[in-house]
Formats: sequence, C-alpha cells, structure tokens
Amino acid sequence: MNDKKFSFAVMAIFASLTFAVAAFNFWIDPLWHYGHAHGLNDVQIVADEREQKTAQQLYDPTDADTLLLGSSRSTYVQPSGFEKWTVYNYAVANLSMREYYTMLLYAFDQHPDYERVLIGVDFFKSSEEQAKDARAITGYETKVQEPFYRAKNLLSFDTFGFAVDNLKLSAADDITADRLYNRQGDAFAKKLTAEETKRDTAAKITRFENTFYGDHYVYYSRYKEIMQKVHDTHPEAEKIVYTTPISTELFKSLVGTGLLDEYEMWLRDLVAVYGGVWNFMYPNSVTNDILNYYDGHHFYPEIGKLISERLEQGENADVPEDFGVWVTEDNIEEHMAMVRKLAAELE
Amino acid sequence: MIFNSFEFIFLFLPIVWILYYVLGRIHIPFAKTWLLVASLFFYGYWNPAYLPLILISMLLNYAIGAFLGRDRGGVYRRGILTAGILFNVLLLGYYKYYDFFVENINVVFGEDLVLKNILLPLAISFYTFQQIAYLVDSYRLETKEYNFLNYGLFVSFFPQLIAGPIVHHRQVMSQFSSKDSYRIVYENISKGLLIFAIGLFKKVAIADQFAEWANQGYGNVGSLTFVDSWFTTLSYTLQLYFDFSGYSDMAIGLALLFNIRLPLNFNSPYKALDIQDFWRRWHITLSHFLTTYIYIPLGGNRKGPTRTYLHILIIFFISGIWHGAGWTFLIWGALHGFASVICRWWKGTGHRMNNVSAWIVTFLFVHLAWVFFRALTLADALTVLKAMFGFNGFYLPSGLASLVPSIDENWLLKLPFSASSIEVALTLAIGLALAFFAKNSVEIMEQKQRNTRMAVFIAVLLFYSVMQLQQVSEFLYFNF
Repeated sequence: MNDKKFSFAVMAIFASLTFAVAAFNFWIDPLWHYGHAHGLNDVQIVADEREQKTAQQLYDPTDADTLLLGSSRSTYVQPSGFEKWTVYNYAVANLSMREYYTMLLYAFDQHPDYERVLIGVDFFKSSEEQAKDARAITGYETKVQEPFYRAKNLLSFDTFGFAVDNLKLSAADDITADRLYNRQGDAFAKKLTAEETKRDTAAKITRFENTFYGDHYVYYSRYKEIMQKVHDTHPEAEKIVYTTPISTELFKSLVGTGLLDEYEMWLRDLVAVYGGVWNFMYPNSVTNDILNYYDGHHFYPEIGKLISERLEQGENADVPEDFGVWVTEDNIEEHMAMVRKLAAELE
Repeated sequence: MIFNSFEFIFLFLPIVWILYYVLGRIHIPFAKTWLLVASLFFYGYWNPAYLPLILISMLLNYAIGAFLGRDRGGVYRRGILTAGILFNVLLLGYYKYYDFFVENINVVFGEDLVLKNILLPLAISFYTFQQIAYLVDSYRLETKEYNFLNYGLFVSFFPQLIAGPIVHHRQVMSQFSSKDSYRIVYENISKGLLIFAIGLFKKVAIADQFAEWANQGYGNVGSLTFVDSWFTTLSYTLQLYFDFSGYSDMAIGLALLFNIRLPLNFNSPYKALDIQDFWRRWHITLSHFLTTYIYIPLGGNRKGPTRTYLHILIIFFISGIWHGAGWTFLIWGALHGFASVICRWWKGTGHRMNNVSAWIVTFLFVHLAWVFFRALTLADALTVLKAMFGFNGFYLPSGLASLVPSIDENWLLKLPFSASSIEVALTLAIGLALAFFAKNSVEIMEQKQRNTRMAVFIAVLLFYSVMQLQQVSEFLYFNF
C-alpha cells in the first residue's frame, strides 16, 4: 500500500467509525439534546438528570406554562398527568433546597412565559446537614452552553453506552430500573413485588434513621429566608408548594425519632412564605399502603398522577379524599392536631 | 486550544490544513501568512490577553536578530546581544519567577512584599529559549533568514509552540522557505497521521488513566503506605512519560501534515542505561539548548574535571528552575545534576555496570526524582519517599485477602484508588512494559509498514481517542 492509499484508508476507516457512532448517538439521543422520538428511543435511562434537563431546556425549548421543581420524588409527578396545565418537570435527584433559586432563574431565562411554578419540598431536605452547603445549577448552565456541546457529546463512548442501553430497553419496552423516562419527560419506576418493597422500605428506614432523622436532624435556620427568596423570584408567576408524601412507615420513623415539632415548624414556615401548602406528607389512605412506594420514600407515578390532579383541581380532584390538604394560616392548627393525633396512633 | 480537543481535531486542524495547501497553490506567501495567523489564533484561543506579549517578543527579537545577523552594530554588537538576551530573561523572570522570589525574600528577610499571583503566559518558557538561541546565532553570523513570515512561523508554528520541541532556527526556517513545503506529500501525510494517532492515544487513553491514580495518591500523601505509594509514584512516572511523549508525537505528526519535520524530542528515555543517556533521550531539544548555549560557552569539559562538574551542576540547576518556579523543581534539577556528575566520574574511572543493573539503577533514580517533580511541597515529597521506603508501614492491598485467607487483617489496607489494586497493578505492568520494551512511535513511523492492518490499527487508535474527548485534560508540559 503506498502512502496515498494508506492516508485515505486511515481517514476513511476513521470517518466511517466516527460517523456511525455519532449517527447512532443522534438517532437514539440518550442525552435529550434533540427531542426526536421513535419506537426505539422511547425508554431512556438517566445519565445525569441535572445536566440533561438543563441542556434540554436550552436545545429543545418547551411550550409549557408550568414549571415543576423538586427532588427525585417529584420526578414521578409526570407532565402527562396534568390535564389543563402544560408542565415541564425540572425535578432532579438529590436536590438541595438551595438549588430551587438558580433552577428557577435558569428555567425562566430559557422560557420567560411560565405562568406558575410547582415546588415539591421534602422534609429531610430542611435539615442543617442537607441544606447548609450552597449549591447551584450554575456549573451545568455553563457546561451546556459551551461551544459544540452537543456535537462533542455525540462523539463519545459514554453516550454510545447509554444509547445502546436505551435501544435495548426501548426494543423490549420494559421498565427495569427505578427511574426511566419517555420522550415526553414522564418518569417511570420498576414495579417491585410486595416482598422486595418490604425489604427496600426497611433498608430506606434504616438509612434515614442513621443519616437524616433523630439527632442527625437540626432544622436549617435559613430555610424560611431561602424559601422566601424563591417565592419572590419572578413574582409574575404563581408559586404552588406541595410536600412529597412519604410512606406512613417512614413517617412513623420520623415521629419515633422525635421530629414532629420540626415537621410542624417546617410546615408553618412554608405557609408563612407561600400563604398555603398542599400537604401530602402525613398518614392517609395513599401513604398507608406501602405498595404505592418502591422503597417507602419514592412513590410510583400513579401516586404522582394523584398529586398532579390534586394540585390542578384542588378539592374537586378525583383522588382519595384524605390525600392532600391545603394548609393555610386558617387551618394549620386543626391540620396539625389531626397529624399529631394520627402520629400518636402510630406509636 | 489543545491537541486533544474537539475544536482542534474537527475544526481548527482541517480548516487550517486545507486552506494551507489551497493558498500554497495560489501564492506561497499567502499560505505562510495563513499559517502564521492560524498559529497566533491557536495561541490566543486559550487566553487572548497574552497574544500581545508573544507578538512584542517576536517583533523585538526579530529586529535585534536581523540587525546582528547583518553584521551591524560594530563595537556595540555584544552590548546589543546582551540587551536582547536580558530582555528575554527578564520577560521570563517576571512572569515565571517573580512570585517565587518574592515569597522567598519574605521568608528569609521577614518582609511582607505583596505577591502578584501572575498567571504564567502559555508557552513563554519555550518561545523565550528559542529566541535566545536565535539572537546568539545571529550574533555569531550563523542566521541567514531575515523574512519575518518565516521567523514568525519559526517561533509560533502551532504544532511546537506550546510545549516544544524547542526548535533551532536552522532546523525549520529553510523548510518554511522551501516551495516543496506547500505541495501535498503523501509520505508526510501518512507518517503524520500515524504518529499523531499514536500520540493522541498515548495522551487520552494511557496518560490520563495514570493521571487519575497519580492524582488520587498525591492528593492523599499523608495516608500513603508502601504499596500505594509505589502505585502512586509509578502512575506519575508513566503519566509524565506518556503525556510528554504523546504531545511530542502529536507535534511531529501535525508538523508533518504541513511538510515540516520537527526534531526528535523523545527517544524511549526509560530504556536509558545511565543518567547521561537518559538526558540524551528525554526532552532532547532542551538538553541541546542547554548544552549549546550554556554548557559549552561556560567552557564545557575543556577546563578540567572540577569545572566540568560545576558546569554540569549549573545546567541542571537551570533545567530545574526552567521546569518550574519552586524548590521542588530546584531539588529535582540538583538531584539530576549530582547524578550526572557521579555518572561522569564513574565512567571516567573506568568502572562498568552490566546493562540490566545499569538500567535498573537509572530507572529507579529517575523514578524517585520524579517525586520531587510532582509533589506540591518539599514536605509532601519527603512524606511520599518515606512511604516508598516503608517508614509508613508495609500494608498490603485488601484484595489479597481472598488469595491468602489466613493473612492478618491488620496487614491489609484499602488503597485510595478508584480502581481495584489488581487493575492498577496490571495497568502499571502494561505501561512499564510499553515504556521498556516497545518500539517508540518514531521508530514505528519510520518503518515502511503501510498495509491494511496498520491502516485499521491507526484509524482505530484515532477513533478510540476522539471518542474520549469529553474529558479534555491539559498536557503536563503546558505548565513549564
């Protein structure tokens, strides 16, 4: 082979391999940069939710009128569960309450026409330990705006790995993990058996007691101040806050480790800032059924659907009557009395 | 811009390369100008603030060099040369060493002088040395080329600008002048592709893997014990080898794509049989510069053994401080200086060591000296060295427990690496085997093996490397 042929052969083989991988990565689009949908990319695993959703807003703009912020629990409140509102779900795993603010700013920068913001809050994220570190979406914001960000990600073995996994899952149309998305931004979770659920719930409760509850928990002194900052940002948009419903077994652990007073302080602060909060986090017919959860903490999308109906339709929603209470200054005493009574029954 | 980046491989290089040959067919000065502008863009892409600095340096040195080279200046020639050299040394001194000197003055004299926290302008160490050589040669009437385009390319040609090789004007100026450099030569393209692919793979796939373990170990020096300290230091020894040789390969390959042949800078240095041999193989162009422009003018080996040893120590002192403004680099340079003196004395007395022993001693010395090169402080370096010699315990990787079930658990240690100890050990063994026994990339390039298997091999190396470009990391010599 002479040098000319050799040079062309190297470039041709290199270009073919590179183009094939880039084209496959584009076709499956595992990082959600392009938005096209087909039967072989309709189940998508999570690579990095923060980065993917941050990039998605930049590169695949939404026509949503409602923004949803929250942690992994709120990822299961599916956009398709809302009937009147068009929702963009910007919930991400392990969200710190310190991140709401920058995520809100970023989302409005990309799409200034949001009419309302739904904010899912978690009790254990209101502790000093969980909230003390300043966290922001800024790093991701910068990263996704780097020149050639999308093109670089097409040329990647990591992306290729995700694409292959997505292809397999989509072909089988199977939900085999605790969070898989479709192309509309709905998250799904693998259904566990009753035995698996019991095992995972027990493990989760142990983790909470060893990590988040009891002596590990100290109410974060700036919680109200930071929530006020979130409230005051983009005041033209209505803010609706809801608490994520943990299983009654996990709530029992919260009560058992002596955190009911802190729980009440948390609710009161939210009410003081937002005027009202949809509270789902107390023993009720939904939370009492452990099979509504895959680990006692993360509910299934069916429960997310109940939350979306309650948020959208309020008292008129077609959901169990005891699931979700609109707590305000006017009824918080009564509500807390009910919660305390239910808590006492658990002991 | 760095070689292992998407922007460089898929945008900058193809655009510059294609236009270079298109313009070369139209009018050669257009192609030269294009290459010069592209090189300056390549430099300024990182931090445009330092573009004026390199331009001023180029213009001033060119003016002085051209003046001296035409045998002008009469009795003031020596003064003009001294002024030119001083300009370069002061420029380098200010940007690279100001804070280091102020820090030491503060410590020694108890002063409280303010540090400037100056960011080192990219490539300043390299382009300053190249231009000092040009001035000296102009003074000696050894320069023949006064075309600024050629001179500008000699200084700023992007394949060698950032981290060498330190090019002598004689090696490249004539190539930039030659019409043949502006015509496609497939032999150069095939060689260029081949060595560039090998270099890119060395950097992306090998050096960056060792970098991870070296960083993990050097980030936890206090907890290192015997095994993990050797894993850490060997990782760095191999990281530096594959990083620097990878960069040098890429530089040679890229230059060949433009029909420019750069000097060899790296010739399997870990195969060296003594420390002098090592320095004939490692950063060859730096050694050449120090020998030609410092060691020989000082008197070289012509003034007796004592002066020879002194001259050796001086050039290694300069080499140390050139690599970095810090005591760790000075000690590293001094260690190599003393080792070179001992080596010369040993050879002078007629002693000989068999090749295997000589190679082991040389490699171990180089390896231990790299600890000073890599450690952030002297205290860190000593901590690592103590651990390497067992002063912090001889714990074994916990993974061995399954092989030796009866082992006392107190002898086991969980290593601070992201990979299992077996994986680290195996990868180190492969890396060392490549460094010790494999043909180096220039040898592979010079072979006339151009067949389908080689084409596939090279294309796959390129393909694998570009698929890892998200984790772009700088080259180690960018900091020097």
